[in-house]
Amino acid sequence: MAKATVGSTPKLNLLDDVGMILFRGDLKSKTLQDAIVEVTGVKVPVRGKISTEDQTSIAWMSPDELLLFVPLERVGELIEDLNHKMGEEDTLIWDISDLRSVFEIEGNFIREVLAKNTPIDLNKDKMRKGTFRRTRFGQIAVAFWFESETKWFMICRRSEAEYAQQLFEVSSKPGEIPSVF
Amino acid sequence: MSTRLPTGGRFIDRSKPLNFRFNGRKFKGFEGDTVASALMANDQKVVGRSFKYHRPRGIVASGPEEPNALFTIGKDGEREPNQVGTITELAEGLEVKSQNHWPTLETDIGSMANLGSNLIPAGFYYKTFMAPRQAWKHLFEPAIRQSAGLGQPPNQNDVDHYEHFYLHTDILVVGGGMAGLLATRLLAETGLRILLLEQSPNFGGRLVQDHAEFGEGASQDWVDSTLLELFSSKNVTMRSRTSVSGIYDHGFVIADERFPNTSGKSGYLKRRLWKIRTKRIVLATGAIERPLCFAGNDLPGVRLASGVRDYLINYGVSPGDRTAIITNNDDAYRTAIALAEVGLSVPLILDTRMEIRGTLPTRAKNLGLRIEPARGIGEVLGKKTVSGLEMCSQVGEGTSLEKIGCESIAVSGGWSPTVHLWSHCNGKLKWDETKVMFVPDWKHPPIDSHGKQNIFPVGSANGYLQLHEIPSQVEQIVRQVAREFDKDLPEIQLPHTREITEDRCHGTWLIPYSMKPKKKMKAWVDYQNDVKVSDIDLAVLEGFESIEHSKRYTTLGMATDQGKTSNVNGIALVSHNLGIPMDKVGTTTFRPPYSPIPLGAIAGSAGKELFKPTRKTPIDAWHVSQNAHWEPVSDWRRPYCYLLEGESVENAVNRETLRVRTTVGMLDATTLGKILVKGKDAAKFLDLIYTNAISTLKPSRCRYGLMCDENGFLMDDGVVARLDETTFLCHTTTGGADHIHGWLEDWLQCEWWDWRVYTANITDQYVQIGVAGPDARNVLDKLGGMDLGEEALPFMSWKKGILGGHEVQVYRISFSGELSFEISVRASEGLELWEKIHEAGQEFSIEPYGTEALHVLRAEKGFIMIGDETDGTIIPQDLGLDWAISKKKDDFLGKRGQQRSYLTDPDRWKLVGLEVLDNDEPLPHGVYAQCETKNEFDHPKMEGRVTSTYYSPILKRPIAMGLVERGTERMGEVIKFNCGNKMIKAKIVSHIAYNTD
Repeated sequence: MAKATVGSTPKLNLLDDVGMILFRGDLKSKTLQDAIVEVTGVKVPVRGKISTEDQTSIAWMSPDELLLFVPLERVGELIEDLNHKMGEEDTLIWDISDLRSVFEIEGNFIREVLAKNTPIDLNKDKMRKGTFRRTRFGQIAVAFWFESETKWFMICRRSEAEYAQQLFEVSSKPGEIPSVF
Repeated sequence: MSTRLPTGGRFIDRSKPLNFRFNGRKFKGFEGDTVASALMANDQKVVGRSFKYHRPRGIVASGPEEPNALFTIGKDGEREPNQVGTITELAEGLEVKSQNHWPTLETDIGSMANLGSNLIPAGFYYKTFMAPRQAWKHLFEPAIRQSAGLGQPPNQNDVDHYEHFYLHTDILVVGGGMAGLLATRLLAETGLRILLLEQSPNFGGRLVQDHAEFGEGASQDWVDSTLLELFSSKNVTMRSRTSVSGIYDHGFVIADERFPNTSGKSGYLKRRLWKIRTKRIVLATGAIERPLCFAGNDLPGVRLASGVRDYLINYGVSPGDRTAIITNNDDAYRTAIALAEVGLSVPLILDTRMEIRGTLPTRAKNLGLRIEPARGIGEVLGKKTVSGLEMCSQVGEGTSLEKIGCESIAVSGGWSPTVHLWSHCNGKLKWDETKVMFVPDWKHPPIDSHGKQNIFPVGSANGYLQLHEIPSQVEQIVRQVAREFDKDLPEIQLPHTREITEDRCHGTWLIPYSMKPKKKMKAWVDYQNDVKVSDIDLAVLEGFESIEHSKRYTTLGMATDQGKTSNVNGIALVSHNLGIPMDKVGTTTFRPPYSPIPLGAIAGSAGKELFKPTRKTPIDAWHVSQNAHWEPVSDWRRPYCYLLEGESVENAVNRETLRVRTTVGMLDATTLGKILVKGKDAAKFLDLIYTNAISTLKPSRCRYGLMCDENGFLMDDGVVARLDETTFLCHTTTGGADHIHGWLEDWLQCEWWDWRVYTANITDQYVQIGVAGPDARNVLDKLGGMDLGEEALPFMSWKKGILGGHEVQVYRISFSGELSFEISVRASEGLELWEKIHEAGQEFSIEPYGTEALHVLRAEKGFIMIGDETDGTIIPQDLGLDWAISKKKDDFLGKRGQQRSYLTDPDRWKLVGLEVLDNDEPLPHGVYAQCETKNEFDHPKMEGRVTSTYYSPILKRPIAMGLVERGTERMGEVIKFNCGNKMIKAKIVSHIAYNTD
């Protein structure tokens, strides 16, 4: 009585040209919010969200941490500008472009493949566009967000990327994906 | 003879025959068969041997409640023991083996225990085998192990795979019978997310075989049209072959989805374990028929009446030409009628009740069937299988009134609602005297985190067995569930069902009522665990009156079927024995799983290469190419050493160690933790975290620091580099990175939340390459770009620069005593720089070295290693690290702890070097030094232990470090280490073995 599970299965591709900046600070501070908008052109996202403008996305990591996705070649310049704009205010801004691996997931049944390995609520009304969800994928820490139903992103520690790829592969075998979402 | 009928069988497809083997013999079945139905169709009466007495056992039931038909399915890497034949679907080429017999199913030596089943009464194991003591190990235990137990565990790796699936839903409906389907259909209209799970491959439950007519039209049509509707509802997800096995707190539910192997190929997805979060649960799990207790009731051929009906209608299987019926209720008459209608003989219906008036008995009578009221079975006739029965008076002692020939006996002792899942989260049960069953007690339901009822039983799971009662009852409860979500049910025309008056079931627990003790030894209560009426009598007699005690004493309701057919009968017998009502006896506790789940499904995809994530550095592939011999270091894998062709591990370690001492070696140190600490209060913060002063460190300088826990015990160590006035980079051990990061955040978030400090674990951002040895600088100079001279970069300092075209930070630190640099570069450039250094080093015969050479090098210099010299009970002072403990600071974590009397005791074991007197006898790891004196327990007193021991290739002798009582005061003394078969003598020396300057 399982609904059909035919159709192409999603693929995982490693993106190696994503610049990433770690930004810790008081997210409620006006200086910080202004600095972020002025330097990146993107607003500070609210809890659990990711905001995107053009080639820059900013993800909410924790009550005092943001993760900036920027063009790789602009990382140094942006960090300098951000540090400058933050002035005397407490902050930790660091180039972490190599800290995590960024994956692009493309295809159908992405929610189903993820649901095999992550305990979060992946129903369409909960995991929506603009949601940035930190959780786990199998046994490793990851975060997910998506651009469209057929194009998602996932980040994990660089040293755990191979595990993520292997787990994704065994979880996306054709004919073994229940159509649920 | 049980056999396949020429027609019928709504689940099987006669156009698709399947071949399978049972104990090596070839059998035939059809697609849609279960292993059990196919075996019955092939007249396989004996399917296994019982647990204790090895009695021949046949198929009893048709669902997951089956106690006897347990098989080992598949062979080699596909082998799975204890599979329930009644729910295992037949597949082409399936290998089915019976269990628990020796040497064969037909001739079992263990069944000699039959000579007197009173040989193994309740509590047998507790009473016997007490003496002589030695006999247990050598005689009793091996004998019991040979005869007890069910299937054999697989002895090969599982070739198939498993996975998990997480789903969040509003309402979970458990059971796809009439009540479950109706509940889902009603709820579907609310738009809430509904998940409907059915354990069998077919929806409809017992509806079709029990009630072919369903008000207007056939019940199959109602099932089909309902399914069709649900199938098109976007908010409804339905899964068949998915058995809910446990309900836990907070609406967490585990369900086990089975996949039949339709392709016949190995390596397929065998099971999917669903991990469900739901707000409310509608329990439509139906009911399970109970057997009756009479002498010989375990002979193959005695089956539940509902099972006989299922095999007949669902699979077109005849249970035998002549089937006698014994019942205490009206439902069993359905079986009699069904058998008669296909032309099989029903010689006799024994009904334990005095008065029989219901619609179904009347119909049976009209079919010309013989009904005997107030009669029971004195004893079943037949040796290995049923050949007949002796009729007796139910109220008497069992005197034979008449012998009846039959091959099959269909038994019905009434029905028990399947309340297991209700009970998992503490839903209470109550005994319904009129219905003769335990039903969910709605006054004490399972509750959610808000204290509100979260499981709602409907249909027969709620004690409503009559078809006509179900629709309105389901609607009423489901409406209540919907209201909790502020939804109202739409007005839907409920199915109009035909009313059939069924008379009350009678609580008949013993047949006959005054069964003689000898007969009680042949009357089984629990088939799977071989518990007889006599065992329960004995348990109660011996004082095991609480049902929880008598259960454990007799093993009633244990093992794989968890007493699905036996529990209520057992409780009733205890109640009968004690003369107290059922309610007072109570029930045992139902716990998950409802049906066993294979361990593979619980592991899910976390098997084989995905058992645990292995963290790899960007240089990992290079290590592979250089024949690295691996060592797991926390979650990472690191080269232990690199093996040249034909080289032993030992020789490789010696070669690598000497390379560093003589010219130069390189090490992948990427895995060491790197934690950034930044802020106006960072220095103040680190002064409290480390035992030594960090605030006095100048930018561009490094310092080795120790971290202790609140008790003062050494937890982690590493080099701190001050990057600028407010920024520090703290290096940790490989295994300590995540823990220390958490430790820092814990103090910052919970204790010093107003301090202006941020931290970040940036371990993976950088590749760190250690270059160590007399030629280290020469190699790096060849790469060019940085002045790494003594003046430009003195020991314990760091600087930024461009090395070989890469932006790097170079730390002048050493863990080997040699000239040494650690070069940090962004991870994506790590491999490239590594290869450049390797190439530049060729002139100096550079070689990579692994973790073991690293250990030898540090041990030669007397440097400690967290986890070797420390074990959570060691303070820095024990290791002679007093120099790294600030005397000036007001406080640091662990300071107060270290002042406790036990830790300031001058008798504490201190770190020293240990030099063996005979170089051919190195000290083993972890051995203890033993004194001549005894301790307070009259054991030899221990005065020290070995913490690190290696062969030093540069010194050409074994070296060791250890903790010895007052060790530092006892230089030159010789102590003895107990190494099991011999004592090894060692002299206490300085812990620095090499180059002591």
